[in-house]
Amino acid sequence: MSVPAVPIKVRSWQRRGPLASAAWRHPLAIAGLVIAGAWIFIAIFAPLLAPHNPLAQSATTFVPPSWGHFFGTDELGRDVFSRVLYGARLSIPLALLLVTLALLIGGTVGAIAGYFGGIVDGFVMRSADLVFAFPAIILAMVVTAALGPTVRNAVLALVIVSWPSYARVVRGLVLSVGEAEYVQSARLLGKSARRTLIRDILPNVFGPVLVLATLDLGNAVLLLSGLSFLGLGAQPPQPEWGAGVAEGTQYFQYWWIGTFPGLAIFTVVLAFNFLGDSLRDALDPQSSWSQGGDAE
Amino acid sequence: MSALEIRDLEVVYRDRGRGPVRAVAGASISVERGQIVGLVGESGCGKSSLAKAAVGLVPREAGDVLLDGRPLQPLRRKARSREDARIQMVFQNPFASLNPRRTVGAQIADGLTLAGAPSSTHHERTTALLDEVGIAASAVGRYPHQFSGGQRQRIAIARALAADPSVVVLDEPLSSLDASAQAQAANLLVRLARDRGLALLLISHDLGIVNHVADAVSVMYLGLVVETAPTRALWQAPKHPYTEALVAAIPHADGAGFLPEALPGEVPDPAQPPNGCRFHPRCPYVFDRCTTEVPPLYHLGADRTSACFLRDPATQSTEETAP
Amino acid sequence: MSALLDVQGLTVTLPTNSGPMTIVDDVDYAVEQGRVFGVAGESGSGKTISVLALMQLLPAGSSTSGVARYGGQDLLTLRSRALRNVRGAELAMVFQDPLTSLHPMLSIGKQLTEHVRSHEGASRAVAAKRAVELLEEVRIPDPEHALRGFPHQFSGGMRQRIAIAIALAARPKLLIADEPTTALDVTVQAGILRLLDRLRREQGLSVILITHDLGVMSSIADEVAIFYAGRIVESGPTRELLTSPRHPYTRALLDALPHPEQAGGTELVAIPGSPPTPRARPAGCAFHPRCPYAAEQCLVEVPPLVAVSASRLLACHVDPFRTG
Repeated sequence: MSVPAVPIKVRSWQRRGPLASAAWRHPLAIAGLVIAGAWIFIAIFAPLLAPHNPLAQSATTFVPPSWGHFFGTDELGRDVFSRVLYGARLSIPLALLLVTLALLIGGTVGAIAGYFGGIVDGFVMRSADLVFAFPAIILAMVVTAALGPTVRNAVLALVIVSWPSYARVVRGLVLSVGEAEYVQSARLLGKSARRTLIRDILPNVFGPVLVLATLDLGNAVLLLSGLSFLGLGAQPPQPEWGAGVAEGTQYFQYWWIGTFPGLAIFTVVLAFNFLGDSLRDALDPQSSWSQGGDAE
Repeated sequence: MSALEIRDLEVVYRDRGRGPVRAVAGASISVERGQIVGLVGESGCGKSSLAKAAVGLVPREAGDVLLDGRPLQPLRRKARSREDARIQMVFQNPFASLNPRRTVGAQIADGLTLAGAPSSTHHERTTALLDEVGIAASAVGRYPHQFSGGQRQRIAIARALAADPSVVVLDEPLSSLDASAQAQAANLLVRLARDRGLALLLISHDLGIVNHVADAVSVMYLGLVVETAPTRALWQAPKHPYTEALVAAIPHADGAGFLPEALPGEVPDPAQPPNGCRFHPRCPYVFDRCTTEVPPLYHLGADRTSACFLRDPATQSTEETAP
Repeated sequence: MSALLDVQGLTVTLPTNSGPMTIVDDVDYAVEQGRVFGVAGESGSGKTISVLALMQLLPAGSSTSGVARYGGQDLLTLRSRALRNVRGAELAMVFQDPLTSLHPMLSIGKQLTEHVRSHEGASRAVAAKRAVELLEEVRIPDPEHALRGFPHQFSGGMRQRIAIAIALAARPKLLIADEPTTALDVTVQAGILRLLDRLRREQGLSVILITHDLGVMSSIADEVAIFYAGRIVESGPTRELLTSPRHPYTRALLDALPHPEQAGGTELVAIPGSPPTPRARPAGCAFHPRCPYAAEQCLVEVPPLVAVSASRLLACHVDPFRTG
């Protein structure tokens, strides 16, 4: 017999509520939204919020956190607080750009692979496997070093490194959603395979991919910061967080120089992770809160 | 000319590990307009594969599927033609057969578009179809998850009807529903066949409901049709040992304490069916011929067939026949 | 003669996002030694939850009230050691889907012997011997060989037999079977029903059998309780209940069954509407919106479950099928 769609047993009580509104009662979602929202606000309004020019050097070097300089100053007398705020203008838009590009490229390639199958699928998947074989940061380092250490090349390198995950996920979803009975019905009702892909399959693929992308934003921030930390992304004097942490490692006794950019990275990544988790939960139960069988 | 005629259909699955499996090994069924034919059998008999091949979702290895006399093209990348879309399917799982991200109205409209109805008439026709299956018109703008299993199944039927089909194949449409929803859905099918003159092929493992609702029944075992008969005749006087066993295994809710008969043995692996008659290892009447020869489908008159050597007309007078 | 299990006033509330929800509402029944007690009902009726409560298998945050007397103890209030002793050795359970109730990664032999050893403290050799006996009891062919097999290698019917064998490993007195045959083909179901019947006759095993299938009830149940919306609406000996049902719901269920005599292209008598979800149970008698005999009283007052004869209990204000 095929998979039985019998009423779900006790397990269903452990799922979250069926409505999106129930998800907002979840503290992590709110925390993620608030923190991410705050950072986006900062990224937009940094010029208005920062008390000092992030690039302005001064003679007041190595000042610990105080009223004049909330996060202290660094080895060139620059205000760390302002640098952290301005750093958001680099990390967040770049992370968004990176994820968007990887999703578009990887997703398109994956959808094509899933739709056509056969040789096309084989070729795409082997290419993805090739990229997966390298540790992400090493590959990114190689590409950036080869092309020259700039922010633009760092993003390019990371897109090259990131597209395969999206390709794999989208391909898998296209294949599994394609087997779904509502897709088969659409075919029987006279839709061509291509139309079904666009109108029926992809909208159902979008949800899980969105969750993946949101979770990936945190990863993107980490990778970008990592490259800058290694000197391969943003170059001095840009106030990028990873570069800030790198500076901090040189002046360990002046702990504020590296700690605050590090905390910025930490909070942003955490916020995006919370958001991604909550998005997954909000999108998930809608399909499985079965009626007429849930309380036995 | 039947609305749907399936002739000597074969379906083979090729799995890398196990070699070819003949899920359907030559089955023939025909359904007339306004008739409900039930196809019953237990797990592994191939009825779902037959349904999918009849509709074209799965390729045929051999045999024909004729829709009003015209051969049906299997489903390819291209959009299905208007004529071929006159055969529609309703699936078992009501939770998977409707697209969770599109409204009910939009999904029904797919069928209307195919049938060539102008978009200005879509709303009216959609509400009429929903009314026919007993769903409120307000469903048009709603999403599938807002409905129960029984309601979704009826929406799926409405969607199939939107394409103005002459044949609808239903693959276990009632199994996931509870008793009330089952009865309501079954009655809907009877009404549709009667009022719209639809030909319905109803696949089910529930012999009770099928017997009540269908005009004729075909019984499948391990990829073959072993008996076909009008419903009442099949129930009262089965003419194949497997059908007998099925009938004897059904419990009766009459309080008489009747303990149903079990069938010894297990269903064999379809990849390695027994020689001769596929049912012979479990058959209480087995004799030598059964182990070596495959019994053909004998025509017993009055729309009855049976693939059993006990019914061989050449031996009728000399063999001791089962009742 | 006191009953093996005596349940009184059982009420079960489950935690949900919108607050606690009453699933089982003040249920009474008694199971006699060596008898099969059938619990019938559709989805949302609370039949499964009511027995999960007996085994204390409810999800965290649930609450129960009432009492379930078994061997001088109250099953609902047992704790740790006492509970462990009862589970398996006194009460055992078999579920609907044998594929998910058997451990996919352990051999059949291991699953059987583990149970025997933990309850009886037997040595490996003794446990292995008992495992073979159990498999023979449930008629698994070639039991020694089967011990080394894994669940996925067996068919659905076989797996259910194995699940029953595991349940019987520690010699329980009461077996609870929750829809044990619903997922099985009809010929396979017949085999399981015969097995349960034989166990009852030969070993005096008592069984609580949950199913929505009245035909299955009729085959092996001695007594039946009909659940609707969390309450028992009628109970009594199977033969009597099925031949002369007193509750309109029972009568409607029987009428809705397909009758082979009316074969071919006829409609079934469907009960209008559908059973209420636990959240949306009507006031008064929960069946009143679907009942053709509903009177004013039915809309406001919950009918109590009362004895209408020596063996029959009925919860209905109107009692339209009363005889004499």
